[in-house]
Amino acid sequence: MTLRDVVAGSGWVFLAYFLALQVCYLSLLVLAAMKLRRELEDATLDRFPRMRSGFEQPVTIVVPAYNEMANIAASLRSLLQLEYPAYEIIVVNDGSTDATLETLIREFALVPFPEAYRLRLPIKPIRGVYRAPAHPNLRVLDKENGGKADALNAGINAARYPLFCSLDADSILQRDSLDRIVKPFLDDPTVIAAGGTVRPANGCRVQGGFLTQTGLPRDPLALLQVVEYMRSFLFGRLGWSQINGMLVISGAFGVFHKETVVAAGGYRTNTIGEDMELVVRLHRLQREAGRRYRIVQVPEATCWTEVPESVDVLRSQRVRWQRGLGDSLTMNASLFAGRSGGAPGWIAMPVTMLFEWIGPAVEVVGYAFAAVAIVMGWFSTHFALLLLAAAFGLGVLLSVVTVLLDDVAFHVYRSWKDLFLLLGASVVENLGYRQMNAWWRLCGLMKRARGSKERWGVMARRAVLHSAD
Amino acid sequence: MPAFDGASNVYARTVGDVALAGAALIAAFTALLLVLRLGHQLRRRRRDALTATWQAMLIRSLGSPDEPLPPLPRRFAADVLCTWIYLRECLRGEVTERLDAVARRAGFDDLARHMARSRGRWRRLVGIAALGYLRERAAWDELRLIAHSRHPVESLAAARALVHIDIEQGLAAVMPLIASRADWPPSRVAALLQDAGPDAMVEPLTRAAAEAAPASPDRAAQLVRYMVLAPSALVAPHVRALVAGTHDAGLIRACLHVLSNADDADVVRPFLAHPDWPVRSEAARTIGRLGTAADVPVLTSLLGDTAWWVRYRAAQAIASLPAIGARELRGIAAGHPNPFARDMIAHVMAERQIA
Repeated sequence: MTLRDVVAGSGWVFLAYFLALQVCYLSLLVLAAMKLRRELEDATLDRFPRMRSGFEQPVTIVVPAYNEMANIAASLRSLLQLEYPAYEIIVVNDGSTDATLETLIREFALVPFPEAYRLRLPIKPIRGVYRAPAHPNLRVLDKENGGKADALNAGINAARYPLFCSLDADSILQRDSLDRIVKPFLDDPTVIAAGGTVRPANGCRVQGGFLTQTGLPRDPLALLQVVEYMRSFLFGRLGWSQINGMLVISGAFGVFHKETVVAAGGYRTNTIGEDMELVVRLHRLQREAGRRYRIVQVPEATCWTEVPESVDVLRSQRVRWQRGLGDSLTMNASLFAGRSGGAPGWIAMPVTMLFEWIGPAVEVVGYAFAAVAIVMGWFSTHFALLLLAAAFGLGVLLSVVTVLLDDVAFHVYRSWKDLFLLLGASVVENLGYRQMNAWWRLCGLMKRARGSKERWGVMARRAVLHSAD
Repeated sequence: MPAFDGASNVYARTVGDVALAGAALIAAFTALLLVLRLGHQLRRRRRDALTATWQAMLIRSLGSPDEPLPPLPRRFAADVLCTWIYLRECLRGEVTERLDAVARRAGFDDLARHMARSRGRWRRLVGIAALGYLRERAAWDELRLIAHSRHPVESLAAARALVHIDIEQGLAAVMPLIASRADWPPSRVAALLQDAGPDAMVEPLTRAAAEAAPASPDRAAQLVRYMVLAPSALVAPHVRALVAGTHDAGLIRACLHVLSNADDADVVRPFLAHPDWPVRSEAARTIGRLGTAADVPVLTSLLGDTAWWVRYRAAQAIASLPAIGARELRGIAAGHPNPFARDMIAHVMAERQIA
């Protein structure tokens, strides 16, 4: 075999990989559009006032908090005003080293509570439980630091209700978000988990812990993430949800059937991607047991969160996500193309492994290979440019169609200026941002291979939830 | 194998075509986005103005039934009908008759019939709901047919419309469906039953539960859960009969949850020793509502139960009983050999002080 043959063969591999990736994404987009249309039509009667009956399942909102003193009080105040008939809130202070607990005690006049704590999932020791006399549905658990998964498990142990909602402390829900995300559980008893749509709160107006006006961030890095989140939640997860193959529910906002999660062993504490790992494990266990179940995405249930505006923080977040992805897939490897794998094992997992897990390696190697091939004269510059244009064009196309779908279905960003900014971001994100992400994710892949350990992600908070603009 | 080394190369041409097609599609979708956004904005403005006008008119017409009505623009007819349904759901009593009369004068009945047959689902759903509120008996057969359709949202909307048209006949028609359709969300079924009213639902609901109990106790249990919406005195005899005739833990729990007369305490007490902990827990909770100070010893023994929920409900029940105050609770805790029982008493005492 000559060098020319190797180059030709490699070119083929990259081209086939690239085409397969685009076909997958476009298929997901079509599935998502179909699902979105059906859901919006079915929700026609939900907007009328007499749809409540008192038979809605009560929900426990579990808010793990680690060094969240900047946002926690505003976040909690908004949670206490949600439109839902029955819910409780459990904040788990996971051994914060800042004044998170003191802030909570001061802001909500918490008093110690002699909780008969029910230890169903193993956790780090609880140091104390507090209740707010003015808010009987609010409890605060103070425990030794054990990571986000451990904090969530502590909250699940203390949960009184059949459904629990995991919610990041730096996130804000819309008043009707809980109502919307719980709806699939009311409509279909086989639903065991539901994920909401996470959107960046940067650039939005927040008052009293509630988002009062949507807007786009001025920071270009955050703006690019708006389109990225839109693409990920709107067509990625919604498309997978259509075939019951969704492998991830964001830790920022998801609702689970508590007993199913407890029976599965709760969140795993030995992975950085505890949210995805739980969902993949739920798929695996339900399929192994031959149970009928559904894991769904609820596009109209929105949660707003602060996204990183600094390259360092973003890099660290993406490295963690990539490591979490690897953990989730390898820890549940038996789901992959297994006898009972179904759509998650035969479609979602292989596609995720190929394009999301090892995808960054292929992408970065592909870029490097193309550069070397051009320099060495193995590729004509003309061909390389065409290949780049095709990749760029299809990437932009996916983003533009997502912006279109989001605008038609939800019309979140109302001004023309915002629309043009989103279209601009759809183009620009393919010129550097996507490649930068691929590099960071490759770093995550390599870090995981080396086996270095990580815990809670550190993000410099700007307290966007407190701000008036 | 051919290499990627020239502009004339077949791969280069393919990739070039893909890039060109991509660019064309981007341009097309961007244009589509802009056109849709513009169209949506214009449509929304017109729709909002129109529905606001109609809403004001409908409200005025409640006071003056002869209020002149403008012609209904076909394009926004469904939106106006939505406005009417919204108002109809917000109002109660005599005033709804006037609203219905205005709707008929405006031709909403014809419009609703037409919409219930349309292809678009949201128009169909709005049409079905409107037919129910307008009590369009002429649409009965059509709605019955839809109520038996496979689509849960549509079938349930039609079932609700049937109940709106005629409560008695509607319930008779939909109760077998309520008993058999697992795809109808309980919260929506409960809303339908609430529309029917507490007295009307008792007979068909209790009969359906009694019929379902022997073969499918889980369905019967679901039907019993709806009985909390009915007057307890009317459903209690039926629930007692059900609980006496079953060994199914789920059905027993559902029945215990519904019982709310002090006379029923004797029915509940034997279940405090049931082998299934969810039944013991529900029994303890019910005794908390119906029991007397004489139940304290058995509840105190349940404070040492292996199941957390049984201990919790037992402690709550003791604290709810008449003549049990903080001193008695402290006494029970001090005398209990089980530390979990003592913890639970402390927990419930603190909870009560706060609540």
